[in-house]
Amino acid sequence: MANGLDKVMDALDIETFIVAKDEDEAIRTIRQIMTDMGLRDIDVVYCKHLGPGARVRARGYVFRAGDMYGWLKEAQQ
Amino acid sequence: MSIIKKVVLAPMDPVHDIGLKMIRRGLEEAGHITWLYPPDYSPQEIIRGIMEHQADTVLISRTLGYGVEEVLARFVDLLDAAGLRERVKIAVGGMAIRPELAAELGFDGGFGPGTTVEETVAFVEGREYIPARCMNKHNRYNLIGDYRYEFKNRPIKGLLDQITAQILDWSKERTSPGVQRALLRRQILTDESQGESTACHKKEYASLCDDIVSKYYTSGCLHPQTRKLGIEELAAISRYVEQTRSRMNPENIRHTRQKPGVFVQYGTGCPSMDIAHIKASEAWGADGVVHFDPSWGARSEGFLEGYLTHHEDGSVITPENLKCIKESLQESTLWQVRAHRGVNTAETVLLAGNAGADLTKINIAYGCLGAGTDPERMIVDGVQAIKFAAQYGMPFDVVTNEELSGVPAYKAFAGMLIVSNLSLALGAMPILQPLFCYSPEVMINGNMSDNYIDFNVAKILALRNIINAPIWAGAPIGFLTQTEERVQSSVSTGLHAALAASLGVEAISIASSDEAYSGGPIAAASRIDTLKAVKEAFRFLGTATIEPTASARQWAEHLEAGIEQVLRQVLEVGDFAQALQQGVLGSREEGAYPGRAGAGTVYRV
Amino acid sequence: MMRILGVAGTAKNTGKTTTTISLINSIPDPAMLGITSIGYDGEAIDNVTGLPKPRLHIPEGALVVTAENCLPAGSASLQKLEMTDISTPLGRLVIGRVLRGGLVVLAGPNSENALRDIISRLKKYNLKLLLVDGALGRLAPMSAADGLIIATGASRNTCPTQLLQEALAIEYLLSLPVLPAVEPVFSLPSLLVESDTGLWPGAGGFIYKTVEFSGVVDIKPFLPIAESLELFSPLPGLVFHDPVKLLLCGDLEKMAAKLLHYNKKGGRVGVHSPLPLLAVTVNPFYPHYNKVNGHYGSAMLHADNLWQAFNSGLTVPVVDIVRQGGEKLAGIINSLINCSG
Repeated sequence: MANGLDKVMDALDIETFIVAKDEDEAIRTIRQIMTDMGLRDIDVVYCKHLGPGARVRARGYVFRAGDMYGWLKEAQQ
Repeated sequence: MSIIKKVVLAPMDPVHDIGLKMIRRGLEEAGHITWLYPPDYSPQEIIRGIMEHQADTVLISRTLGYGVEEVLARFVDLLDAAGLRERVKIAVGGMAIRPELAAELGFDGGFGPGTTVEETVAFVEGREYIPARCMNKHNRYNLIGDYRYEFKNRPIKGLLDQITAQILDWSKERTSPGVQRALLRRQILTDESQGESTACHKKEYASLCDDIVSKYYTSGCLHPQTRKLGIEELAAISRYVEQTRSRMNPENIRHTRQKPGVFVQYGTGCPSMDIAHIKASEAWGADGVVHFDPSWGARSEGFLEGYLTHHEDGSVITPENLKCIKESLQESTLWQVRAHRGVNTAETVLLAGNAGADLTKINIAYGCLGAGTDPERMIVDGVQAIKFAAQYGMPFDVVTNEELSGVPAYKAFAGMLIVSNLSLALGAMPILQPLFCYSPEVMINGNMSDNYIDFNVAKILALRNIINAPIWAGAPIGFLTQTEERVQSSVSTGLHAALAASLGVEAISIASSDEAYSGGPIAAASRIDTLKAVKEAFRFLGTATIEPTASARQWAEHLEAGIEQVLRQVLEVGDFAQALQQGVLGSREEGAYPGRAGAGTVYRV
Repeated sequence: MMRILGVAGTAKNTGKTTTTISLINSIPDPAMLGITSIGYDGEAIDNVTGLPKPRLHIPEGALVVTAENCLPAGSASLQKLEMTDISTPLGRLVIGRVLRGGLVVLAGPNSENALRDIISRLKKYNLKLLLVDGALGRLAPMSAADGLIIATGASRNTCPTQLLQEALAIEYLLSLPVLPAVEPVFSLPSLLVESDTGLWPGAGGFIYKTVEFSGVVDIKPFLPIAESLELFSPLPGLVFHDPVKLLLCGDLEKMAAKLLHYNKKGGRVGVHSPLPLLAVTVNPFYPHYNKVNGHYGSAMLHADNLWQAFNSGLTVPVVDIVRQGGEKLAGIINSLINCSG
């Protein structure tokens, strides 16, 4: 199988709970995680810090409207 | 001819298994003979039992994950060594079971969590399991039904008829570039279908467009935010649709109620991505899809042509883009192309009708109070749009988006009813679309400080007290109650959907769980979030109802009285366009600003 | 004539796979080798493909028997020779030739009948040897084999004495000779649960010269029957169907001890179809949970001592599969292939 990300329709979201002292730290951490995972075009969709850490959802857009979509390439063959 | 099977059901756990008990009931109802063993029999005991009963099938359940491979392997091994493997069909199921594990161990069937009784019975009977949803072919949802539009509030009807007469009288001698372009477009479409040259009409059409659009007709120059889709891209999307179609087995989103139909909105900017999102939405149970075009499309006179992709939100309306999308839809999917604002309203309805859209959206009042179009222009174009809709037999909703600007519901509803009554007079089929939203009005007045139910119920009660017409809650439901948090967003949509179901409205438009996220386009997965939430809400509610408090009825009465009062004021002004300008249907203080796009472009014929 | 050699492990991480790999590598000409497996092997499922992880590198020219869904996985290049109608949950079994050596996902017949079916289909390919890689918890299909290699080791039991005791019991049970039944014969079906003791007529059975155990023999119903038989004089002969049925008894040491005792008292004990033990491989390593760093690591018994104990105690060749590997096993293969009949 070629690059798995090619099969993502548009975006890959990661949702988790980050142990952090405040929202900033949580956001920095999840951004780092996303970058380390090889994702680009990253945004933090949601972050709420309460108590021990933050519930976060970060998104890495794989394809945006107008791009050449990987999942369409297969249909092209 | 059905063959009776002899089935041993054995839980290989220390405790009883509900799953096996339910399966046993299902098997007995199907006429088979069963033996359900107590929990925690050893493999040897189970096999001894199989021999005694001369069973032909054994169903093992296992919920504990610990040591599951060893226990099951031993069972299969002993069965094999006892010489029974060939004549006994064996399956294992339960929370600890992955079908791959069952396959590895040599079971004939492996059922993970979520397996239904029907599926297991089919396995025992040796037939292919066809999920129920496949057997009921997804039917096209009927929005209009048997509505006859009888008015129950005679005074309001009387007022509306007078206003309608005034509008028709005023507009019959007036036209606009928008109307002219629409008529030209109709001619162009006819030319094309007859294989004749469109050059002449297109030239005239171009002369009625804004520069940014006419450049396309004169020099092929595209709007800067767009690009043409290549031939390979188009071929690829076509193949993609074909491949996807062959796998489509859409979920049924409703449970025991027949309503409401569920619409999702699309408009990523790219027709290919739109189609991908549409297919996902269809698969997860959406009954219909709503086209969102870019906001500049409403402000620039004229439409571009060609298969165009747009670099930001909103998919450009061109005859080719609409054709492309229509071709991708499942037969049962309803398709709405909105025409409720701006200077291209009439032509939008024409193109929509020509492309085979099922619905459109028209609201003169909102178009000028909340979407920036000049009142006179909006009226002239709107009337033409309604006529086209009637000609195409295309129903449309009349949406009270002004509520989002801050216009109180009673005023927005007055506008909605004016447009609806006008539509009826023109032989069209309007659908009322009140908003289920956390509007500025309720923020200020506190109507939703306790619950999101009463005020929404009040809206429906008020409208039903006035007229018997189809109601489609929008747009989307729960608007402004959602945050970027996926669960909160989905739950809010689900709960509002339950309320809509309880009220028996015809349809709802739902957002994705990305509705409140402004950092980027909506992701496909987020659409599925809310479709799942709605499905679950419908399951939860069934045919039960949600009970509002006494406030709902009180507010409904206020709404009805308010609507009547506004209609009287409109009549006092004596001119609908003037009434809009003067803020009768929504004032500046309330956040409604009569628009200027197309101002001064209306002229008498 | 094709010989069938089964490789079975007593537990995970006993070196069964290493043993099988060594056996494959000992074959001089892969074209005379066929390989299959009888199923699942511990945590060997690939999380991505959902298929067993390929662990065996099969050389070019060898024949493999695996399920059709497994064909595209793995790195070897295979030529389909025959599609059988034997179905498994991973599709029908396919007989294929390896064109380019590599890893193959093996998911072969998972019942005795299916293995016998495959064996008869393979006859036409003139193979000298069919290697049947075992799977955890599965022994029954090995009844179709001509010889067995057992892989055991510290991961089965970290006490060398107990480990050896079990191996001795296994060796004894697999060494049972062919014993013809002498009339009159009382035939017992599979003995599975304690109440199956009632299938033996007890005192009224004194007239029988042979008691035949035609199916599985679990230790719980067997012991009381054996005790009752010991009261007879002369002791009837005990004929078990094949050693595998005994290996599934649930307590190998008790079974071996009882049969040895019976034999010493003058009762003959044997099988209808033999399954000789050809070798035992022993692995001193075992996975050990390290509480300090929270990971599983490898711990080890004293390798020399372990091998010595096994080698002295068992009659069959003993191989420390990690340190000794190939040569001894090659010798075993060659004798198996070259022995006639």
